[in-house]
Amino acid sequence: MLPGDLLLRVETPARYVNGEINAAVKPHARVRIAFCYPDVYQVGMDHLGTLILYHVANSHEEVAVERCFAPWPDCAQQLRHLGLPLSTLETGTPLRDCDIVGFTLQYELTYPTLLAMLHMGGIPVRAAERRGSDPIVIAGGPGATNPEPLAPFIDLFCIGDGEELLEELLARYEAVTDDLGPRARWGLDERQQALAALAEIEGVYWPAAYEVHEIAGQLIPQPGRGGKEKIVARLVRDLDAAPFPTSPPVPWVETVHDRGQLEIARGCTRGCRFCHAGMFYRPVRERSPEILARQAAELVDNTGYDELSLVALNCPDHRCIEEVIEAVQGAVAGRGVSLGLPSLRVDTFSVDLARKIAQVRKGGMTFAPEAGTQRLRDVINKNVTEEDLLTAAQAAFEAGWLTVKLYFMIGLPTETAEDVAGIADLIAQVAATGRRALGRKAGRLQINVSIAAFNPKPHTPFQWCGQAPWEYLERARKRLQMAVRDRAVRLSFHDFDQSLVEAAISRGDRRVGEAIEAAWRAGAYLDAWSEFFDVGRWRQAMERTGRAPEEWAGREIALDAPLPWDVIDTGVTKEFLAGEYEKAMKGQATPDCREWECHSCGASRRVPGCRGVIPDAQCR
Amino acid sequence: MNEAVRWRAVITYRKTGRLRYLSHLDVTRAMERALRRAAVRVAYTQGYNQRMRLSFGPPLPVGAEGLRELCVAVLEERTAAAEIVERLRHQLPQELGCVETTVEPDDRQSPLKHLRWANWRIVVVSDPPVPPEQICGAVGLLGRQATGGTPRLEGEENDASNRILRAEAVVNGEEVEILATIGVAEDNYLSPDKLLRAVEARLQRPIALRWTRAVRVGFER
Repeated sequence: MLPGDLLLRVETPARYVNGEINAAVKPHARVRIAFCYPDVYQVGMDHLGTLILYHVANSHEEVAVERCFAPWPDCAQQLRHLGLPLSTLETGTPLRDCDIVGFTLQYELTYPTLLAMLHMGGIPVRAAERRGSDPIVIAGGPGATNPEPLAPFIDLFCIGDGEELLEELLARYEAVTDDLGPRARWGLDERQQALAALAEIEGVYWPAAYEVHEIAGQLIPQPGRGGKEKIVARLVRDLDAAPFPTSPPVPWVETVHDRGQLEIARGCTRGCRFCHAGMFYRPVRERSPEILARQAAELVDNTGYDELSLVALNCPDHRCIEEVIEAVQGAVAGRGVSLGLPSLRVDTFSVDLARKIAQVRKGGMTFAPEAGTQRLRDVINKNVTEEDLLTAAQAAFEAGWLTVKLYFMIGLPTETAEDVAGIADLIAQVAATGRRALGRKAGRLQINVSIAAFNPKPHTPFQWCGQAPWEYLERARKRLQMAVRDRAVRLSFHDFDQSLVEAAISRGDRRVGEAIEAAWRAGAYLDAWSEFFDVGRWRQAMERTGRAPEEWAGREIALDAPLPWDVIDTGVTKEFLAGEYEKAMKGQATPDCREWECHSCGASRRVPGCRGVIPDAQCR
Repeated sequence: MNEAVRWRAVITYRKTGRLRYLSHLDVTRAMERALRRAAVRVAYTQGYNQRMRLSFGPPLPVGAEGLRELCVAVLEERTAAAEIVERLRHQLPQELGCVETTVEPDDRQSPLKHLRWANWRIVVVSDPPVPPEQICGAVGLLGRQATGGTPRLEGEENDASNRILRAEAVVNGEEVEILATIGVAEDNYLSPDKLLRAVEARLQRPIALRWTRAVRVGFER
């Protein structure tokens, strides 16, 4: 905990005090790990992945996993002023004194914050500058599927589902310290030996074991001594058997979502061609209603939350979604607990489901048609029709919703002015549907539309595409603002400058790491917060790479060119992605393999006969 | 006793130590969650968004401690006070612990009504030191009983005297301990910070605080 006189001088001091219900405090553990979230407490405490791994590692008696979040700038300034290192919440251990310091990579704009946290924690930011006794710095999460921009700073990347990988990492670390003695006494040789031993674990990428060579304008890592040809992402096959935190720490302060989370499924086989998660987390794994009911009851018993949220890439895709809702509702009945279903895909949203959700909670109703015309929806493989959207919207309005939220993207590959105009048309049709369905309540209709720029992501069929230029996005924004004049519709646009930097980093190579460091040294911190983001600082920082951010973000890559992230095997093959890219350019859709046939995406290499989902059947 | 009468638990709790940095909203949320974890059968409001029927005493500022804060929970069924204390003991850390609980019919006037005054103990160490005796003297001139009135605070319409019932101070080494009874109702509310500003106004010089600790020790009607 920070000193009391410091806490009186900072905003929301309760986020720094620790002592939450269910926080694991183990002052005498043999191995101490800091799990760092490169954003503030209120954002990081909602991250389910961190909570899962916190639970997994703290199940070991000898291991203490402690949390660390980025302090708000006022607190960071006070730490600097007082010469105090950034420390963990649970025992106040400075990051530099931990055995392992782990980061989750959820969003590219948090990367400078990661460097800042290392620096504030007393750890050299560059992996090559660390001494033998410094902590081992690891990182995982979706951002780790292109590890190259952070390769200069991270000792080891953990790719894929973390539950089993972390168990193995801990066991190996303990074995290593048995052999080499405690980390605090290691020299550089011991550190190298330890890293090499940990890098043998499947799913672990040790960037220092690779040399980079420039091929076709990109730095491509190639294995040197200790480097594996491919790093195969880890996959948890059985979600029912996987550990799940039913007693997570309960934050003192209100967090962004501030509710209990139940992961009902992981993965998606819909095949949207822009979607990183939909490609990375394959095949789909579902939890059974019985297990979810037990977890829901435990979660309420142990946390006291008054709201539970079902978590999946698309909740209604769970084959037993109605049973899941019934079972969870039954498990928490009479305890004043409401149920939320955050992510909904329009074609799986039935009238019955709308009614069922309406019985428990009338939170937001969000649909993501993503594109305005059928042609473009086929290009991106969003297998929903206009009719699907309007039917779903009507079902929602008839079930009592007055507000719906729609997500769209602009700047998608092959997009034309007609596609942009199509967004406005679709919004108008949803508004008309709402007015018809709501009748006398039509005056209270509200449609919130969120529009983001397309961001090409690694390991997706659109990884070869460039991001549309800022000027194009601005023109599209103005066109939409002119076209949508309905008072019931509220349009909001994601910051295109932030999208530009996000895209520049997400498909970057190791040179982009230089820019991230330069941006951090120039003051970039909490850049996911628009009030702190400064695109000018990033432009200057990117000069170090010899390319402007627009060149990194907008570059089109040849299908046969090697990619900086080729070393990572997510389970989906590059051939499948290339095939999907080619079908996209022809405007051809690929149906969901769960309802059609296997498209040989690669998932069946690891799960023979997977048919998109494991286990095969479990509904009553 | 009429069977239809509802019962309520009047929970007296503390907010101390590191949890003094919790805001009032944080405390209300923590208490609601603790009651749910403890499976105390609290009644819910009717309507779509059902909420626990809880009410709280006057908010305590962030950073201030409280030794006898109040929370009133309307119960779904009569529950023994000792049982509520025991159940909550396992669900709240010591710093936010339950001090005592009474269970009473809910048809009486709420104990939260007509709370007008709070007793505070405020320990101040100034840096660079304003002589503690001077602070003491200035405190003694505050409040209703004081002669000569209390200076008006910047940005305030009236002086603070009708919001300070009693105030006295003692010197303890470099510390000055202020014991004050100040307003907590809507029409007489004064925060400990404002009390210190009133002292500064009386001194006609700022007190650069090296260290301060404010503890609300109880209420008066």
